[in-house]
Amino acid sequence: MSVLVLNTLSEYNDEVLELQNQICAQSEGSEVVYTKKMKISHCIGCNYCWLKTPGICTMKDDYEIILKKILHHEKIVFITETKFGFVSYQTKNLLDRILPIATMYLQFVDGQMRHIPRYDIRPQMGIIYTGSAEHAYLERWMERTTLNFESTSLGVFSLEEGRGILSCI
Amino acid sequence: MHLVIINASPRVETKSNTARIIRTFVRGYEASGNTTEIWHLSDKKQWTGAKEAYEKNGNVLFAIPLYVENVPGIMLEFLETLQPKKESGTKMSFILQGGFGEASQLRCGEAYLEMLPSYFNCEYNGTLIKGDNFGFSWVPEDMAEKMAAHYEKMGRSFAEKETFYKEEVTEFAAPEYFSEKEIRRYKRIGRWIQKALFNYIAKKNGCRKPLDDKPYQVKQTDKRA
Repeated sequence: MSVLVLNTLSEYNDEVLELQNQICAQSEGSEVVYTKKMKISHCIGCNYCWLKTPGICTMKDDYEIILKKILHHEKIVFITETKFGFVSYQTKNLLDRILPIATMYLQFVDGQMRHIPRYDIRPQMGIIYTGSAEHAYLERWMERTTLNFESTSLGVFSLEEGRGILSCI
Repeated sequence: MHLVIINASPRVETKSNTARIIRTFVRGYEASGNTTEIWHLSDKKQWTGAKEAYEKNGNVLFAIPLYVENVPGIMLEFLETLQPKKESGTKMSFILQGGFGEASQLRCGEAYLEMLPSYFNCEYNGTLIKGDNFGFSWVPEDMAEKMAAHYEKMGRSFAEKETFYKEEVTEFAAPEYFSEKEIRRYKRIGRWIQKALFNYIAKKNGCRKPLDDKPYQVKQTDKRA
């Protein structure tokens, strides 16, 4: 059960590095991707990944590397800065661009409509954040977000409590 | 009253469902003599104008398509260019729209918008939520206009009340969930019609693959331990 750590921080951080090492030591095959220097656009909402080139994003940039990696791991941990109590736009862009792992087709799950997953992966996701956040809201948001991919949240942790994630992965 | 409307959709204006909703809403809002100005974040050249409009006006409305249970990344990026208002009293209102039909799908996004204005020393002035807007871009123009027409009524209401009342919005956005009967009917018939419709749209788009194609499928042997 390997973990894909997506680090979107703008600055190098010792504490984060230590935590990442612990995550990778705990789960064989895990890897860390730093997105700071990668060229990753926001999602432009064209729907091509659902209705023209199924599963393939029309934006040709470094996100394709991440999309492919997502299929190789069972868990994703986002390490992010916070703005306005929420994750940074850099992290939100990573999640907005994940839609190609779902299809256009729909189904009802527990009384709500959902997109049918494209692949057999059901990535669990969690967040470690720096700065201050609307913590309870982030937990709710992560739970809702993972529902869309038929998976569950690994939880949301401030960097100070970041070790907490080790028992969740 | 003058209202600054910022379209937070990353999709180009001509294809933006949110832009269509704004146009319809504005017809109702301006009917009683109010004025508006509209800025589209999908066009980076409009960001400075949108920022200045936010700074100069006390009545700002963000119109937002739901992206992964919250506002799209492009809106968060734009918000980083704004400073909190020096003086309090600016009203921040929202229209939050989505593709799924149930209002419950928009509640997580709405909950964030309730908190957001405080980060800008602004006053939260309500959110108009409504789903079932996915079809706009795939139907003929006159049909899309009809599908969005109910937003005009809400524009009139906003002009009159100067806020979105939650009870009125919940009624407008109904159903909160589909009934068990509706879900059964969908499973029996609806999903096949929908699937055929999606396949038809894809074909019209020039799509040559099945919509559940797996371009990056990982072979079991490639999978890491």
